[in-house]
Amino acid sequence: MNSPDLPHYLACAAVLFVLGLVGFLARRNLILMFLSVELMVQGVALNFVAFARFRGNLDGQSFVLFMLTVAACEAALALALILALYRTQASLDVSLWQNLREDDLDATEDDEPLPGIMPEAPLPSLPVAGIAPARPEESNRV
Amino acid sequence: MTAGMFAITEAGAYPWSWWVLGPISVGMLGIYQLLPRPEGTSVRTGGFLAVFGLAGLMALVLGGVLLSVETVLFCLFSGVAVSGAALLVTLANPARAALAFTVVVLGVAGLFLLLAAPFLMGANIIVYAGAIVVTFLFVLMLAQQQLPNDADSRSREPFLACLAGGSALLLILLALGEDAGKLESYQEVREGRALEATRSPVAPVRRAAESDLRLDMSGVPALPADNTAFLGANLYGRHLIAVELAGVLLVVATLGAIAVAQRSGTGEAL
Repeated sequence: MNSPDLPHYLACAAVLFVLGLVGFLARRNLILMFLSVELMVQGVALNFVAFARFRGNLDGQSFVLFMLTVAACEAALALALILALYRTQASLDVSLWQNLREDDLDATEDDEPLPGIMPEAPLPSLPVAGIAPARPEESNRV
Repeated sequence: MTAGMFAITEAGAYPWSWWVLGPISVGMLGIYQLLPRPEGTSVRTGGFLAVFGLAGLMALVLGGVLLSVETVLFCLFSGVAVSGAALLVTLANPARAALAFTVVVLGVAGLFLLLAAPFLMGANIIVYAGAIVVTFLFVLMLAQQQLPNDADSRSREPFLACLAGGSALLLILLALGEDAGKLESYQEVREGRALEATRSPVAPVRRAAESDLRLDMSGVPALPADNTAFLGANLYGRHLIAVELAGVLLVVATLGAIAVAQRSGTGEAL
């Protein structure tokens, strides 16, 4: 073997697919989850082209063109949906939509505080200092 | 055959087996370390582990392949693609992750070129890096959030996700390593029996293909160099209805995206 063979390309595609899987499962940003799905699509496209090359058959490459078409449609629709979701919650966090989960699943709760976001300190009370401003004399003194 | 001697003991046997468990677990541990979390990530440890795992996996998988220009290019492009994928998964800033996705697309486009698909390389770069990533960045600009926030600085069950990914990769690679030697498809291609690249529905193109067909150094028939012409003949010959349906799908998706993105009530488009 003096050049990479079909299984090497398939292994590379598998790594791309699995990294996309990890990103989809672990990340919470809607856009990043969608990018991870696109990463999985890239892995599958690599599979198709590798089979096309090593079987000497162009149908795999044709299929990848259709995958490109569907991916473009999917991106347009998904981004429109993400925008619609963002308008209602003003956040891309997918956990805000966790009331759609199954009944027997526990809710995700964020226990640890984010760094750099301090709880709001109470407003300082200014000490009495400086020259008292002139006030109009009150008419009747006790 | 000297360097790859231990690998090709039997015909078509590939070297990796349970050994891939090592680099996979090291790499997934690195990804686990790198995934964003509120208490901060250890970039140095995680990055080292991830790079180490990737290098180990490449060394194992490519163990039986002799050093040639194609091997070096394969290592380069697949390394770029996989590193970009790891960055995409682990970067906290979503705009940077979208740019990392561009790196993945460029790496995969290079692999397409190695696989004799220059037209798909161009189409991939234009559609993904040119259109989809730009749309993503545009939406990110509309829905901008300051870091740190709940969406970007926290991960959902990072350990379980990495465990699931690692097991999936292990199973796929094991199945590949076991069955790769038994696949008859490219053995047939080697012997020149499955020359379907020449089976084009357009007669003149077929004649050109048969005369232009070349074998590369390992005896695999190279796809014809004018891949675009053959791909076009294949698309518009065998898949004509599918091409038309793809056009309809694009129109429907455009209309749907406009309808969904419209603000409800006012009827005013975005």
